[in-house]
Amino acid sequence: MRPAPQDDVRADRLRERQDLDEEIAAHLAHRVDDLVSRGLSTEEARARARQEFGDADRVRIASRNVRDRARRRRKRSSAFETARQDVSFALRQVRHGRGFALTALVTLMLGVGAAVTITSVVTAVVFDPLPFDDPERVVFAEMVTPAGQPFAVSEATFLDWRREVRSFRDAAAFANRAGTLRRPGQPSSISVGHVSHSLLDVLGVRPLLGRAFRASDDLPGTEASVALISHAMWRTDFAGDPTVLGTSLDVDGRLLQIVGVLPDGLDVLLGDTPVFVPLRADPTSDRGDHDVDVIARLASGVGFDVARSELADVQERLSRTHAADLGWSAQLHPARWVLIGETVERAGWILIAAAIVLLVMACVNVSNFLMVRSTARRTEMALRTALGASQGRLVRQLFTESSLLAAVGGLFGLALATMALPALRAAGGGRIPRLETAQIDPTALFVGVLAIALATLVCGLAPVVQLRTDRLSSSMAGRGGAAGDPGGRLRSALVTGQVALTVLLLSGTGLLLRSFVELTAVDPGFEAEGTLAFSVDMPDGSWSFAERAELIPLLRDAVSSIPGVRAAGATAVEPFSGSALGNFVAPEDRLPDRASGFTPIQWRVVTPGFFEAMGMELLAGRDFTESDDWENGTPIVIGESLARQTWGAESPLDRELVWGDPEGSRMRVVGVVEDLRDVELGQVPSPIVYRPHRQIPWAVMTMVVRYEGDAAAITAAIRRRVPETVPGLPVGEVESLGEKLRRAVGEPRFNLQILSGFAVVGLILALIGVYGLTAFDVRRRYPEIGIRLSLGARPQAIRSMILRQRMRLTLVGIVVGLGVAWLASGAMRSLLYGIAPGDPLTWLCVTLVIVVTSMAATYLPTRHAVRVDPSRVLNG
Amino acid sequence: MTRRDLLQGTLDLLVLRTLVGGPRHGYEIARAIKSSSADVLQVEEGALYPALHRIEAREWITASWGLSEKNRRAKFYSLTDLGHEALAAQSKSWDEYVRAVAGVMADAPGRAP
Repeated sequence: MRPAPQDDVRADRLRERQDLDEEIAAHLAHRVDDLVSRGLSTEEARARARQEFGDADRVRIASRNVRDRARRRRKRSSAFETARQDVSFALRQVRHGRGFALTALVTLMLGVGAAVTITSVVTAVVFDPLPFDDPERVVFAEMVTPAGQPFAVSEATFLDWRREVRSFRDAAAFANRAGTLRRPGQPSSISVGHVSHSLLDVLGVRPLLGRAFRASDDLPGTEASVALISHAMWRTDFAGDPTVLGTSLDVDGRLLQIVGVLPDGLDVLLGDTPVFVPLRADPTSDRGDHDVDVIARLASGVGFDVARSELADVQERLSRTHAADLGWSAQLHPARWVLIGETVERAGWILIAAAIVLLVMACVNVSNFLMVRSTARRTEMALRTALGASQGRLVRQLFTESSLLAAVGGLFGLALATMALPALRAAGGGRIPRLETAQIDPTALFVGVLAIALATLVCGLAPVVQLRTDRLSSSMAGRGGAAGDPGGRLRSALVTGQVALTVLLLSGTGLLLRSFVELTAVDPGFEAEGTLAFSVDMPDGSWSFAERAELIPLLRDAVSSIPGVRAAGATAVEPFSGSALGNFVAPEDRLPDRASGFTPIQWRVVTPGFFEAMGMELLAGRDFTESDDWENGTPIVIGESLARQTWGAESPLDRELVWGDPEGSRMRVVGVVEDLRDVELGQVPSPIVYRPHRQIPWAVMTMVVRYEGDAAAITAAIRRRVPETVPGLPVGEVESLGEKLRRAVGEPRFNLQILSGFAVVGLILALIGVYGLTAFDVRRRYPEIGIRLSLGARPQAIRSMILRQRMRLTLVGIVVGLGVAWLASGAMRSLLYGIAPGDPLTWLCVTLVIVVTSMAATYLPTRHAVRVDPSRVLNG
Repeated sequence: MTRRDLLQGTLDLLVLRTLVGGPRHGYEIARAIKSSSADVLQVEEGALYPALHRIEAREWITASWGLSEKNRRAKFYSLTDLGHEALAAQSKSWDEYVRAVAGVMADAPGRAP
């Protein structure tokens, strides 16, 4: 039978006791031998030895205590198994290395995570090729007004271009127009894409199902009978049904047969338009009706510049032969330039630069820590070398440790990116084209692996370099002391560099933040909060001009009578829809003799009450009334910038503007309203003319409702009241204009969110870096600090001494960082709004943040240091 | 000549140092410390053996019975690999300590140039 544990201990103790007794006896015997050899008698020697040894029992007790403690430790570790031992060892290592392993992992995770996340996003948004075949050969062709502004193209002009420009292999035109989709239940107002049959050919894509339009579908003067549907509509409305072909859709009262489904990804060009019909471009259409966009594919072997100059030549000829085109020219742009845009591309590069900065900081931090640790392990290395470990063996060991660290940290980084991406996709809020396609793609993965490899290399080499330096320094060991710290200067440089990089990141973020604040402070010219908007559609086939002119006031009255509604009025251009109608005007009293001297303007049809519902201030004159029909002349209301631009300080009231060309109709100004910024908040508002709905009863109107109280109740009342008033009238979603306004600042906000995230990560990395290095330096100086303390130095004095030394490095870093940031800030100019790249307030704030962070990172280790117990230094 | 008592911890360091040359038994260790410090450092036997056992428990040294040069049975202690490392680390911090003290003493005001 196995003895009980207690018996085990007792047996151990007995054995140890006997062992110790024998050991003491041996000691005494040796001492006696010594003393006898010096001439003492055996008796004297024994007495003397015993006396020298002192109380043997005290020794026995002390020794037993020592062994009991060791036994307890062993027992504990066996009871909790080796796992506990490993964990506590790891924890001890972490504690001992001042959080070394943990810090390194967090550092790598942040650095690699940021790099992978941002590469994924930027790749998807900026660098991924457009979803067309050979996308570099796809171009946009557009008109340019006599004043030099880009403009849409007329159907007749498009047909001429398509026929005459031989640099185009083919061209296609497309336009989104409002339509009514009638399905069982309430008819809905949707956007219908009118596209040339050549569109898919130009893009080089095939329908997912069925066929594209044929030339025979696209003949002018025919009625549309076939339709294509978007991939999104096929997935949601038809649940991805493969037998959808042949199904009929009731669009604007006509039954269209679905002949094909478009492939996924075309929304970058076509938006969320669900239904497409043939454009049936009319060669006899008015060249003054600029209402389609033109996209073309360059013929093989033809360069962009050749095509551009040929298009310019063709349009120059057309401008000579067609009066409406007088003074107009044509311009060509790469599809990338139009669909992605310079701003987004620039933002992408800036984000990539920020990611690289973070990655570099992470690698510097980690190699720093490894270097610090290897200094601590210097003796271990030296000893192993002395014991015969080959240099290669040591390098291999260090490299293995470093690789393990970098690989695990890198994996953590990938995990972080996996979690961060969905958050970013959500933050983009639909304003960033193609953001939703962002996922950890092979490119990003490659970048991640590259980052890991880079970190491994840097980390792995650091201790080896240190080892070599050690040899060098030990050969000069005689010089000793503080001067013999070759890593000291390097570490100082690293602290400085890290601070500088953080300053760079923070400056970029600060500028975007300030610019975002400026942008959201822009007065859009109307009160977005407290408004709802919905569109109504009265297509040509179903409602006559006269009917529309009567229905809209009816509808307005019905909505106005809902309790809580303060004002209601309609507009033909939905706020923040991005669409705009252009034309030209000139003052009657200074009429140019040619159309090219006219001022380009935007114009909109509105009903009485619209300005009030929008909260736009009437600066002079009056609003429209229901009696502003053709009988009452042609009254217009103009925006304040057009008034100022045309008549300066004089009153524009009762003056006349001429519409379109010198023979155009004369229009009398009856009112002036605030300018409106509802296309791009950051842009200067265009000159604008409002015309009364009574005279131009537009088919698609957006009713804007100003209300007080519960939006949901009012929305429900609108949804009920509209069909009661006008049965069968298709109504769109009821939306809040405030929501649309917030979406309009979506892109700047997104840039800001990403860069802020980066700045925070950067700040954490800098904090870790400065803290780690300071802690290490302070620890090296423990003996010095201990002695100073025991000689009476006040802790306060020691603390401020160290703080002063570190802050000097920080300040150098700030100066360097601000310098670089100043040089780099020019690149951000196009992303900023309302501030200059060298914004002093931003830079002041950045400096403050860094100083505070750096002080905190320095203070913590010093606080610990002044509590050093001098006797601890003695024990190591 | 004054004899100085050893601070705790320092004894461990000295014991380890003494064992660098090879295995030694307790009496030899005490004598070696005394003689190599020119009789300045006095090891109290009462402290030596508990210290040896403590260091043994840390596995910096191992013990085994053998015969001494005087042909007596004695317990011999020798350094383990771990002990070598510990000695190296402790020597280093000791060096730093000494250097720091020397540095501060050199800076101390009132010292003749």
